[in-house]
Amino acid sequence: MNNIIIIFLSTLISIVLTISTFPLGNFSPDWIYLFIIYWILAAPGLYSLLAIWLIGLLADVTLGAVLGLNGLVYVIISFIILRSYKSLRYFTILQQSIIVFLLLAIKATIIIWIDSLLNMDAYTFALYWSCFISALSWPIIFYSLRYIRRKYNIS
Amino acid sequence: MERIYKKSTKEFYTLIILILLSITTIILDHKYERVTYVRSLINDLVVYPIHNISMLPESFFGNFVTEYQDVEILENEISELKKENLSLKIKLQELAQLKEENNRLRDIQKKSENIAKKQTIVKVISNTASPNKKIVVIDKGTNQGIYIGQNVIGINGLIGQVVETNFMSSKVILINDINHNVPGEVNRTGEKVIISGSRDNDQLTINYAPVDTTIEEGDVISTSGIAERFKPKIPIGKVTLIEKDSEKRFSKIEIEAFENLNNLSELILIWDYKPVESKKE
Repeated sequence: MNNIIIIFLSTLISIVLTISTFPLGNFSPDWIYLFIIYWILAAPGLYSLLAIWLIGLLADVTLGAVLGLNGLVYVIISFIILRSYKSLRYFTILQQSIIVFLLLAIKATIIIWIDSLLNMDAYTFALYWSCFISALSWPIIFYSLRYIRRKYNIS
Repeated sequence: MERIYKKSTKEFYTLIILILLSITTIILDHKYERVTYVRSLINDLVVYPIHNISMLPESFFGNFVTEYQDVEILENEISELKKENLSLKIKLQELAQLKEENNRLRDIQKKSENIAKKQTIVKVISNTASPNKKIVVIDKGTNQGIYIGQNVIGINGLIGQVVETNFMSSKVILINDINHNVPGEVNRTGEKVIISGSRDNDQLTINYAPVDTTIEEGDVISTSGIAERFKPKIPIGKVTLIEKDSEKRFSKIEIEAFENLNNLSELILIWDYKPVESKKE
């Protein structure tokens, strides 16, 4: 029960942050997925792949993307993180930021690839800026969510 | 060891199933538009309420700021509005007379077509509904009978069309979106053009006008009604810049829309024109 509340609240907050940074366009961080990355690293049992996929569908509706696009990339990247969280966890914050950038760049590449495959023309290479900004804001998310996690003793 | 192996294979199969599921929804949504119902459901139940929550601080501060606007500005505004009101009233009288005359003539012509000019004024909830598309969200949806493709205009000219309907809200794509094209017509010459949004600024452009085009600066462009997406003769904008470069294949034409597309608050939906059902372009 506790887990569901955490997932619910963090999804809610990340969607609110996403909507409020819409005016930044491609320079807004990918809040929804950064939150998921943190929780996978900190508490790998919290999110199941199915939950991540459902959040991806929410992200699709929020961002106005084709239904399933974000679900697909979220699940793929989450699988990679779930397989390697043990080593990722012991990296320094700078190293983690670089890894976050690389993972999000893979995600952006898949999105652009599917986008051009379906001839939708909704995304451009400017999407990589979002990855870069996300990597820059990773320390903020990491420390603030860790503070919350320690305060409420979530694991 | 076996336990770990079992757990990871289970995870792997979940991954494969979810990937296949995603591909299915992508195809269903993109090609056949079959999951619009699911999308509307998610939107109304989850995203729309969250959207409203996240807009609370902005609207609060917005109200705060407008309430404390300078009194002088308001007084100026009032006097200007009074003047405008006066001239409009005069025009209205002429119009009423013309209308009666028109009705009379129509009666004579026995053209008793019922032109019910039903219009709905809607409010824009959010000006930025998508990070990379020019889409606004309005506060009416399928509950009020709004349909996809419905033409959206402002007081001065064309604004866009409805692209997504949910039960309580809808999304309107603006004409200056990069992927949006409007078939238009130059009022002066009758030349048919295609007006698109441009990537770098909020102007509209005509991308494929020949170098020896007859379009001039100051020409007014309106919708032509070709392709039967938009009602004909809605004004779109005015040509502000023409660059005829014989080196290039097409001349560069910029159009300024009559509506201020960056700052929309109230839109008008028109009902007397239904675009033909067509496959998604």
